[in-house]
Amino acid sequence: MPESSLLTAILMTPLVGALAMMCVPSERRDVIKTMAAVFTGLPLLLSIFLYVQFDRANPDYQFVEFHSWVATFNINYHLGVDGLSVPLVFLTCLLLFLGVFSSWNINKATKGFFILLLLLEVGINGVFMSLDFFLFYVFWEVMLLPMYFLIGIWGGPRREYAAIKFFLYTLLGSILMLVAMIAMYLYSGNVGAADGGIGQRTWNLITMAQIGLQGGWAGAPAFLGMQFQHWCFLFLFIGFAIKIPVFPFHTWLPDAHVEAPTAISVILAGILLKLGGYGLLRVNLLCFPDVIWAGGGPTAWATGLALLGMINCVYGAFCAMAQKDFKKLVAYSSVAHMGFVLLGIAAANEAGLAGCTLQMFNHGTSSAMLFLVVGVIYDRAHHRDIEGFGGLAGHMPMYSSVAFLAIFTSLGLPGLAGFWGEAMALVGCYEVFPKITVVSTIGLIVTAAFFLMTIRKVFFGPVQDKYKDYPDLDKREWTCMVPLGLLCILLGWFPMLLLGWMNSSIAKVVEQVRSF
Amino acid sequence: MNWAQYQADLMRIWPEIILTVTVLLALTVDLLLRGRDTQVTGWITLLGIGFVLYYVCKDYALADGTRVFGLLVIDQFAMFFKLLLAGGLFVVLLLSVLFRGLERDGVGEYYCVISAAVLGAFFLVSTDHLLMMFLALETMSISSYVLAGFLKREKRGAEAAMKYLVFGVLSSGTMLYGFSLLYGYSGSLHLPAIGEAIHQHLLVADGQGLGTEGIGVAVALMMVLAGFGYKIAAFPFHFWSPDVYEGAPTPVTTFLAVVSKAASFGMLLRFFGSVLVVDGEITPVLGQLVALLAALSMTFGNIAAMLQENSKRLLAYSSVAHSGYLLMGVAAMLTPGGSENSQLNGGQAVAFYLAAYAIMNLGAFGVVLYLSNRFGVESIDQYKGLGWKAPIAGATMTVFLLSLTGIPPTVGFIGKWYLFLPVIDKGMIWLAVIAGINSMISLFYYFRIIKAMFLKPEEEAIPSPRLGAHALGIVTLLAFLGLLTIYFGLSFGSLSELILEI
Repeated sequence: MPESSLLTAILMTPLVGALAMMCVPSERRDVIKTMAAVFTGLPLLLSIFLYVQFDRANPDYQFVEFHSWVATFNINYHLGVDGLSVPLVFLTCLLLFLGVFSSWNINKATKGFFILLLLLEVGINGVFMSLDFFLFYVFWEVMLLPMYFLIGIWGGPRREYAAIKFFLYTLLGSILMLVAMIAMYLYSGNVGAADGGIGQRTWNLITMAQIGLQGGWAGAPAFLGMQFQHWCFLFLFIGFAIKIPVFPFHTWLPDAHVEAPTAISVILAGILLKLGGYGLLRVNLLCFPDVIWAGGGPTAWATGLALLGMINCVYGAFCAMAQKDFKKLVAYSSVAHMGFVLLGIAAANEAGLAGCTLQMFNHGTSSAMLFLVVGVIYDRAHHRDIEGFGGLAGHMPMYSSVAFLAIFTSLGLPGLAGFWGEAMALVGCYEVFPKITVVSTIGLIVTAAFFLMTIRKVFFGPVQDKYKDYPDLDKREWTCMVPLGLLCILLGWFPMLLLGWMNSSIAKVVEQVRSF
Repeated sequence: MNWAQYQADLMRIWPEIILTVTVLLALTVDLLLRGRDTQVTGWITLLGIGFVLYYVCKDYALADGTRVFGLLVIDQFAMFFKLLLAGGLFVVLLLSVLFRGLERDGVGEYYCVISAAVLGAFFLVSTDHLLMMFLALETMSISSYVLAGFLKREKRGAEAAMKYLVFGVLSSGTMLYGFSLLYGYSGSLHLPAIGEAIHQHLLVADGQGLGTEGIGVAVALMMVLAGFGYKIAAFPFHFWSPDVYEGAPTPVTTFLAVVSKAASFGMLLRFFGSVLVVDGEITPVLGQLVALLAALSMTFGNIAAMLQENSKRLLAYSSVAHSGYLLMGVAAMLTPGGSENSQLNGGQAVAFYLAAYAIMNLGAFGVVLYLSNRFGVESIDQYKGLGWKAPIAGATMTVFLLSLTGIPPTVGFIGKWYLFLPVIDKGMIWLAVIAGINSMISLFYYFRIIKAMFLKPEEEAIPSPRLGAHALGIVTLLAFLGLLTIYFGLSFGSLSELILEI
């Protein structure tokens, strides 16, 4: 395969699969499921190939593809990956592949489910690969509809409410993003046109980052007394913050998580939240570095970000502690964990950004595992009430060990993957915002507390007879757990397996931001 | 005028001539076939419109702004709108032929009247002369009044037609008064001459607007704007539209929402584009007012649509909201400022959005018509579970509603994006943000339909569907429109080049 079309291959294979699947009669469930496995498996293999082939020393975009799409408006089909996106592409392909297996039992409109799942993969991978803002936006929106249907048709009792809430929240963010995006496009043509610079309007994120690096936005017209780049930063931030989700915009998340079927919760927590963090890095931080860092120190905006991150950490953890529903607890723990991503970004130093990106990947594996764990017990008990369980460790030893692994990864036990992201984000943030960092650590303690309490209530305690007949993990469930569990352990001991890929890109980002 | 010139002019209006022949033919055939309940008239009209489409395409490249009979301008703008109108009419006619409700009440007249309305629309978009503009507008309007009340035995339809007539006459009167004032001030009925007169004599020195002497002109322009407001159903001139949309037969509603609206916007663009934009210089009179109307119209339309139970009524209010979106482009066109190379002006964005709107709205009404044909349902409540029973209708409806909301990869997104470009370029970020929030509101009610169709299980669907008449035909048409919606959403280069010519 010629190297240059590897990304397109990863991106389009699921689409081909979805189109092919439309031709299969809907009664042939086995064929449909096999096809779904194949068409998510192929991108996974390709993404592993991508991971191996990626040149770690090179901080620039690799595997770049460039084709003109709409020449009149300089819109291009422009793909490329750097150290920030390669791990996330791999994570996407992995979780979608596992998602197929964890939804093997879905028998209601099976064909529709898997077609939507494949389309979802196209959207997510597209966002991680796009270097053209227009393309980025299109993929960003393409995700919404499959997600709406996946929650709304195959979800729990309040699925309709959860689905439309998810859609409305995300769309609000997208629209603000669209306005900022168009403003950036329109202004990008003015930058440097006089002294033979860029001149032509562009959607190219690399060029936009260059403009940001040269302080080019500063000349754009202010609006209501606030500078152009601050408006754009704000609009884009709201768009991404809803996805992360950051404190005042987080309320869609527990609803969507609780109502979504297991596989969709896994994808939602594992990848969709990362899109927000990735967007902040790729667009906000790179295109508007001077909003975060100016005059050799953090700006008020950076402080604001860090404060929001702190609120996420602490508030999310306390909310999780108050939950009786196991799945909701995991959902709120995601809110807490994503706070560290914000802290890392606000700090904008190497440790902070490394923590941020590590946290994104490792939360992807650990929260995915946690949702699978919840899914397993829900399949058997048909409820998720933490208080209603007890003594599961006695009946289901293997299941409990896997659950412990997931929980300990999630609460950041050293030696497991989750530790590195949180630790490095805190280290990085301490350098810039010591007080905020100290407060944020409360979140860590509370997280540990509620997870340990959950272990006590659900897995330990007196053995209950009503759970006697529950079978332990079956083959299909093992298939989903093992790769994630391995990643949690492996990356706990060898974080360089990730960091090594990201380092040069992170260094470049930090250098750009800190030049202000 | 000498004979040779007359002949040459006639050659330039082939589409209109064929359309006239079609109108007469439909009438004659209907007379000959009286009493026999066939669809022959419909197919003959369709054939005629097919020829019209062919001639419009053939003459498209030749349109160079020639004036014909001193009243019409054959330019790219006119040709684009003619293409849009004829294409829209073609689909509406197909829907009419396949629609069950029309058979009882004299089908032939229907085809004759609807073609006559489009004949008026053709002249409307290609004239820059006030007299011709008014005549063409009345041709279109009066035909529309008749169409709205076409089902004589339906009480709702009769009420709708009456309401439409009264409001329509009022608006025409207002507009005519505005026209006469303009004539009084400028001494001409020719739009560019009026624009020139305003620009030369009434603009105050620094070009910041009309001076005190120009107040009369401002009043006249506002009256004309009010008249246009009725035709495009913009807030606060929209009161007729929900009743008429609900009461009229579905193909007629489709016609009003797509063809009639496109023609009215074409006229609006031509009028303000000639009167207030002279040699690229914009007279800053109505920009802010139109922006305000746009914001009000989209907000009101969307909020009112949230409360609707009937799908046609819902689409009526959504159409009010879409007039608001379209007016954003007009506002951008009438607001000075912005960057030197704005790439596309507000008017072009409106033209693009109209094309997008035509495709997706034809589709949405097509689904409504299909569902009422097959299941006899019209209210959203009754749509429960129908997405599973009629998968293609459900899937295409999802595409059309996504497009109406403005979500990629559909043509509706591109349209909205085109509208945002000039609006943001002219510094009206507030308007863009309001439009954005409105898209979010609109998502809520559009997805009520999708929710009913897909999120409810098939078991809840209404029992015993009527056997579908012409089901296959409509489904094919819907699938085609759905694919078109996505195709132009992904590959809009060709369409946008067409737009940038005008």
